[in-house]
Amino acid sequence: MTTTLPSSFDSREALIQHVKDLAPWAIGEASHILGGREKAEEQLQNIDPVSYVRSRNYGNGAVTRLSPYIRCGILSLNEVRNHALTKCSQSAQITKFIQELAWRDFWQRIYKQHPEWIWSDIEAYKTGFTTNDYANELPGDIENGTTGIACLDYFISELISTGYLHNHARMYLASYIVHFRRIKWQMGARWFLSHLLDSDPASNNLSWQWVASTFSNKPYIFNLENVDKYFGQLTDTSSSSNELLDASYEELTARLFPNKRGFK
Amino acid sequence: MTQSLIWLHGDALRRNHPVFEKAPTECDAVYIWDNAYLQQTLYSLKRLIFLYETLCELEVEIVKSDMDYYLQTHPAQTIYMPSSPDPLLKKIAQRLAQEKNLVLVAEEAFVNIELSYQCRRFFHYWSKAEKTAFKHNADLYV
Repeated sequence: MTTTLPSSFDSREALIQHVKDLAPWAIGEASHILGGREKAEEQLQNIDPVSYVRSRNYGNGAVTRLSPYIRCGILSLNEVRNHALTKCSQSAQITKFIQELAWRDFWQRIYKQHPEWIWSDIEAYKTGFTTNDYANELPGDIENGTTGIACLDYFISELISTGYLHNHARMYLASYIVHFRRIKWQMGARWFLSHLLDSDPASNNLSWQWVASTFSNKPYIFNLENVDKYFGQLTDTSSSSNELLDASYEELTARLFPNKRGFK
Repeated sequence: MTQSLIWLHGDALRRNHPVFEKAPTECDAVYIWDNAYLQQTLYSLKRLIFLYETLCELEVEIVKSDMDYYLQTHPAQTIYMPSSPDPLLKKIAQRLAQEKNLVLVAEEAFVNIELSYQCRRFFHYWSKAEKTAFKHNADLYV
């Protein structure tokens, strides 16, 4: 059976209710981030790729937030690159910006060539553990943002309410889930796919595999000092509220990967 | 009777996608809201709302249906589809191609590297990509 659906609504609330009625199985609420080409073009006009290169790693850096629009093909990578080139005097000034666009192109190529890699470990974990050592379920405290680790609970709250997370925060959460909690990366990848507006199986899952070390040479880990450096102005990074993360890399490596020797 | 149809999906939601250039000017475009498919994508409500908002602005017909059923029973004999790596969409496309003339239209290229190039690590890819990554239209289009 086929039904024609409306494409015009009196208000955003009416559109939201319509989608809720269409998909009663869908969890969560609306994000404040708006879909559509008009909003995408507005954001594209406002990008500052030169500042991006300097500040992208910081939670309040000049990130573009174009990724949800690129994900859905509302903007093409080509369009974004062409526009970025008009915002610099020399293309070398925006190398890191162009590389970030290239990462998406790279993931998409892999997806096309190896769709079987998307949900399977591409390589063995390089953590001293095997796949069977990792749990098959995402615990409720992670899903609900009640881990008791203040900075991570802040990131989870952002993820669930907005559908957007800074790339650095994604890596922290992925690393926490896979390495601190020893949960299979696939469980976290499913969770991100559900919530992140820009998530697709290629960039999402392959990035999870990069963090997990099943598609990279070593596992990605982080500590509180790193979170404080990049997000200290946005969330509580005090030691007392984030005790588990407050350690040197050497200490964390020994604690998280006890089976590995000579690991840096 | 409509001879052709553009089948849009969630990887290609813009009017200046090359599929609109490739298809005949008078060709209708449709997005098929398929609950069974959307449930498999794992999307939460906020993702579905983002998608629907985008569709409204795109001014295409939005229908609720089963993708296979809709496309197979539509009177159009030629279906234009933006290429997608999504295995679920590819399966539908394969079935459709047995019944109708399916025209796959690729996204604009970001860099000038042959699609068959096998890459495993990013910086291997980048060593080839950087030659055209900084060029307007990757030096590919006029």
